[in-house]
Amino acid sequence: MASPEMREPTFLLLTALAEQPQHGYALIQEVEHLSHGRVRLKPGTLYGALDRLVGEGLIAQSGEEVVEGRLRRYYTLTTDGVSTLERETGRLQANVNAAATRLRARGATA
Amino acid sequence: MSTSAHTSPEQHPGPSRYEARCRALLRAYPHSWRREREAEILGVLLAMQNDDGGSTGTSPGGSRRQTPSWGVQADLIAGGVQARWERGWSFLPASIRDRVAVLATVLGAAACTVIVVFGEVAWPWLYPVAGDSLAPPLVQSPLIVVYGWWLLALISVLAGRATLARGFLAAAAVTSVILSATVFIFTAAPLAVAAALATIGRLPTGRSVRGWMAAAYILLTGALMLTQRTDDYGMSLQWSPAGALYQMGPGSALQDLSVGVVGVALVTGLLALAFRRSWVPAIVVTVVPYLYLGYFARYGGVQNGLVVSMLPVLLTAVVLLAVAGAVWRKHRLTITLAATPPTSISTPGQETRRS
Repeated sequence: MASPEMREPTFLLLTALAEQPQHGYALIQEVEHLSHGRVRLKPGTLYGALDRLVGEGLIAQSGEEVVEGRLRRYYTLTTDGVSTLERETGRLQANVNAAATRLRARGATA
Repeated sequence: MSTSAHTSPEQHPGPSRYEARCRALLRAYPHSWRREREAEILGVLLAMQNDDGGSTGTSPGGSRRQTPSWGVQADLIAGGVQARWERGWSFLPASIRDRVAVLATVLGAAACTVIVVFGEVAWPWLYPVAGDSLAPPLVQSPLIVVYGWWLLALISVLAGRATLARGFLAAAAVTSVILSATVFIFTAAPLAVAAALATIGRLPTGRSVRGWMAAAYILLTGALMLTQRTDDYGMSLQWSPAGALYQMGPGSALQDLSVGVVGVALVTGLLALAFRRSWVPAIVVTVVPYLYLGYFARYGGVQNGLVVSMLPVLLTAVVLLAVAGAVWRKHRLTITLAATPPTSISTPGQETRRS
């Protein structure tokens, strides 16, 4: 079976973890920020996605702390997660480059 | 990230109404999941309540919520049900669950489409005598609700909305079970099982699902063709206009010829699927013979003589050959481009396309 195309919320979650480990609430805020408010993950959806990404080995738990009586568990990209994000970024970048090239060519011939 | 404790959980004041409501909602999740994750997700929910600038947990006026929003509540319940369901299948590897989900989705969606398009609408019109007895009008079948859920799930998958598709599939499973007491059990039960299996893994979305759908249609067509001679009940007749030819009499040369045409359609469809990974030619070669053979069953046949009866068959053969030729040319072009270095096929100002 060909690997399915990565959906946008998954891509945004992996992107949110690209720089440093994040906890659940920070991930919700990061994804909303990265998508300019378009994608707002709810907690049930977020933890469903985290369970799946941990199961696929793309992310891993990297520690936890208790702040104001609330448990924060941190997640980080694994090596597989980094390579998957790089591959998906390359695919999207190639599409963007192709579209930009065609649009420039259209502008030049118009 | 090291573990540290800025404040002990025990020092936190008693649960608020908001927290109590969240804890009640989290009971939707299985006990083992809550043991691992309840404190963590509860922290997220409480942080959302305090975030006045956010949009996911506060009331429109920015004040702290007394209960989570309806969207968050529904999301938690759906997540809990999904977690319970997936943990029940956790004995299977994730890759196997994903493949089962894909196959169940495309086969169920293909079956429902064939039933609706051919069995409920086209075939009763194409072959009215048997249609009156075997295929009731669409509005009289309670299973139309189930077919509707499946078609909505298919549209959602093609549109890239996998979560929405899972909701429709869950609705299809529940509706099938409810209706199974009053409708044809051999239709309702497989659809209920398929809908349930479709939710145990991840679903492909968008372009990648089209090839699977094409394969499902072809497999279903092949199964109908193979079973039409042994199916005494008539299900394959009901779902296949080509199957109607079986009623023209045993041993008819036209009957054998029609089965042969469907067989050619299957082979061509599989070739199209294998070489192009495109659903269009596969669907065309699956649908066109059905329509011609249905027309053949209604208006042709032995009454109008062999020449008239052969016309739709010949037209079908022409269509099949045209599609097969187009697929073959495209495949050869792909091989040539893949085997030739880019520098030798690109000229200045001329663009080379790869497919």
